[in-house]
Order: sequence, then structure tokens, then C-alpha cells
Amino acid sequence: MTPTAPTPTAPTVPAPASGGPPAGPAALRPRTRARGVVRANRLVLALVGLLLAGAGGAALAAGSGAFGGGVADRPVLDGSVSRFAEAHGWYWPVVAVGAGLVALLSLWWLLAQARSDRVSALPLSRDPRRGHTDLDAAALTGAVEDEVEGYRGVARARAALSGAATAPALALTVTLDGRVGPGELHPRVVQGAVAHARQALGRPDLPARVEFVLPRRPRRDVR
Amino acid sequence: MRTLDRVLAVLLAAGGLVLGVLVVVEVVAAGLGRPPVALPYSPVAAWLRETPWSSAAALAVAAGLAVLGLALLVAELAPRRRTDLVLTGDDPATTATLSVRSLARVLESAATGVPGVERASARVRRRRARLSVHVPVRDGEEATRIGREAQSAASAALDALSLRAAPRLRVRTRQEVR
Repeated sequence: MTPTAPTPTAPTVPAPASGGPPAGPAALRPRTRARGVVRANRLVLALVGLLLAGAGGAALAAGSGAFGGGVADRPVLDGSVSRFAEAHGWYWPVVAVGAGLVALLSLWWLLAQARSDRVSALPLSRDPRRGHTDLDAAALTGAVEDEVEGYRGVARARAALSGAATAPALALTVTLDGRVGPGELHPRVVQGAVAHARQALGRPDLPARVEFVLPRRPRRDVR
Repeated sequence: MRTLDRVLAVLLAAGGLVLGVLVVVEVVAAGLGRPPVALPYSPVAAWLRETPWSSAAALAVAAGLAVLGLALLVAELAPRRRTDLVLTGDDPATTATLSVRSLARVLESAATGVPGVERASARVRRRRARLSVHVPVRDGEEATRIGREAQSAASAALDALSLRAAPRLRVRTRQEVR
């Protein structure tokens, strides 16, 4: 971590309520998704692409005689490989270890996909004498969803807490039914559901990310 | 792209895990003098032993790998297009967004709300929004008038969102007479 790099907590918490301009594009991070995983996927997939392109290109070059006509006419798997394996006892053990490493790295990559920065419980009080009190995040997010779904023009609302339990952020996805525009609903959501969530948590500066979605065929409940 | 990456990651990771374990198992089995356990590698090896690099099959496989790899590489290295538009609000701790796709729906429904407009389709990027309005009337002047009305309805809808950086709206009227 270099001194010039942003603090590790910066990406998970939008700019604090300082009265300045609203949080910039930094606040447009993926919601409840570990950023590291997104970046790792991109990097690993780019490397796989590079590997495939390199192998394919080299094989094309070999086949078209770029390495000399002798190579092009030789079989893909010629005797030299098996002769080498027979002459060197370490060949197959090394292959096995390499395959084991690939398996382990794949396992790590697979498990990383399940990672998210969703917060499931919030500490309300940490008093060693009277015990700890935690708030189940689902209780809060459920209440937020119910409130927003009660607004006219909202078809569906999904809420989640992300970040760290000590510095959570509210992520809210509001699917509209087309009767009321996002511009009109926006202040209502902020002054209603978001304000109530802040009140419930005792965090007046709880960062919130509200995403409005208008589906192609809005579902309209008869209410 | 993020979702596609995730799907590819799961597929590739699962494949790498299975293949890696199988190779270890096969190497150990072969070392103990046992026949192949799960990977039928003998026919593959036999095929590779009689196929020269210059054969059509080998070249086709190589070309396929190269194209696939290049496509993956380009797709991952290309800068991600931001698809969220930020709504202006009073609360500095809240970021409200609307995807470009959702904005297209907003513009379309604003335009189709104008009498005389049969359908509308919009394509929205972060800086530019293109709305095309289909007006099924024969009279050219009438079509222009309806088109202008649809344009003002769409720009009113765009203004009502009070986006922090609204895309430039261009409306094209298509007169369709059947």
C-alpha cells in the first residue's frame, strides 16, 4: 500500500456527507460485490485469452511452415516428447504437480465467485457487561423494501447492506412500473425510506446507493 | 460484461479444477501401471501422433484457439463503458442512478404518450440519446408537428430526471404510411 494510494476503505464507502458536490463516479462501484473479484475475473480471463491466442498463433505458425517445413510435416505429438519423458524421471511428477496447482488455483477462483461484501448483521451495542446486541440486516432491508414498494409507481424494491459492519452502506434497487418517473420518486425514496433506515441505525450519514430500473415491459399491479 | 465475466469465471474455474484433478489422478495411475481411470487419453495421443501440424484439422483447431483467445483478450482489455447516469439530489451521501437502458424506456414512454405516435425506440449512451419516433400519418406537416410534440415530451421527461450530466437528445421522426 503506497502512501499515494487511496485508503483501503475508500472504495467501499462513498464520499462522506461534507456538503460538497455529491459523490463522484467513485460512488458508482458495483453494489454488494467484492471489487477484487471483479478485477480478478477480468485479469484471469485476459490471461487465459492471451494464453489461448499465443498457443493458437504458435500452432498456426508451426502448421503453415513458419518454423521451417520440417516442423509443419512432423506430427503434433512426435517421438521427442515421449523420449524426453522416458529419459527424465521427473517429467511426469512435474506434470502432476503442475496439474495439481491448476486445480488449486481453479478452486480458489471458483470460491472467490461466492464472495461479496454484503453485511448480514450490524452491531448495535458492544457492552461487555450487558452483552452484545446485533441487528439482523435483513430486518432493516426488509423494512426498507416494504416501504419503497408501498410508493406509487414502484413495482419492486430490493435492499442490501454492503461494506463493513462498522461502516455499512445501503444499496437499493427500485424497479418502476412506469406510472411515476424516477425523477419524481428519487426525493421520495431519499426523504422516506433512506432517511428512516438512517434513523433506525442511528447513522445520519449512512451512504446510500439507489438504482432505478425501468423494465422493458413494466409490470403494473392493480392497486 | 461483469456478469458475463462471472459466468465465464465459474465455467473455466470448474473446468480447470476437474481437469487438474483428473490429470493428477491419471499420472498417478499410469505411474502405478494402471490403465486410464477417467480420461481416455490414448486415442487422443494416437490422433496427435499421426496428425502433422500442417493438417487441416490441426490448423482449424489452432485458428479456433487463436480467434477465441484474441476475442477474450480484446473483450477484457477494452475499457468498460459506464452505463449509469447519476440523478442530482439534495443528499450528498446518496447516489441515485438510472441505467442508460432505463433512460431509453423513459424516453420511449414519453414519446408514445403523444397522440399520433405509434411507437418509439431509443438508444442511449452516456453522452448521446437517440430517439426514433414512428408516426403513421400521411400528412407531412402533421407528421412533423407530432414529431416535434414527441420531441418536447421526451426532453421534458429527460429534464424531469435532473440528471447530473444529461445526454444530448436527438429525435428522428419516421413517417410510416400503410
